[in-house]
Amino acid sequence: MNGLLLIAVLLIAWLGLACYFWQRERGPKAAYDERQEQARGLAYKYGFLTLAVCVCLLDTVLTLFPWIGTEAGGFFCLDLGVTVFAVTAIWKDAYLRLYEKPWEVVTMWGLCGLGGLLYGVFSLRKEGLLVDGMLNLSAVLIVISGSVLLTLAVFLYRRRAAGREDEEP
Amino acid sequence: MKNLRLKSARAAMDMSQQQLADAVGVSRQTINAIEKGDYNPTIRLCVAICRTLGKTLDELFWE
Repeated sequence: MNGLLLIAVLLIAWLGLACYFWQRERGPKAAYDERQEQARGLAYKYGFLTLAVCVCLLDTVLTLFPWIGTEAGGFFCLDLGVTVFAVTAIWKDAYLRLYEKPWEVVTMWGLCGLGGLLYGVFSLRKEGLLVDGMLNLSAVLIVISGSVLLTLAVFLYRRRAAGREDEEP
Repeated sequence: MKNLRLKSARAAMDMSQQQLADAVGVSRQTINAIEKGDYNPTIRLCVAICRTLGKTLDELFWE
């Protein structure tokens, strides 16, 4: 594991812990309301079903395209499942907690998506698409970053649509 | 089915959807969904809304 990767892992771990303690401090204000809980349940179901279907199809895909590799294939399945969950939750206005600020989400996704995309592109340029006949995991990072940015685009679209909703004071 | 009684009661109190949502502890989108008839609230939420708007369950939610 090179130094840069170790720093990235430590940074992600630190960010994760910081988010956890920050949310815990917020207490009940960090909760979802009943409609959101119901919508998120549906989103979890769709995400899980997507993951299950992808895993079932993975063997067939790997037979047709063996250069993808099991690792990359697994990551693609996970990515698709999580993306379906996120997009469903966003579409049903159940992604943000009650008092969560949209800019926090936009900033985090934007940074993660762009950062991952840039790192993936640089890594691909350096190592190439295939490494020892198998797909470079940097390509997986690019796909995942693309999913993050797609989710961000859906989020921004829904925010804009919600702002245009007919609402009388 | 749209809940126009809820909408009128809210307007009579001069409250926005956001203000009603904050008062009962839900998101604005949930209040909007209830008024549009896209979501059936639990009895607990119905009671909270009625208390905030000073109405009975029959007045706001009985069909």
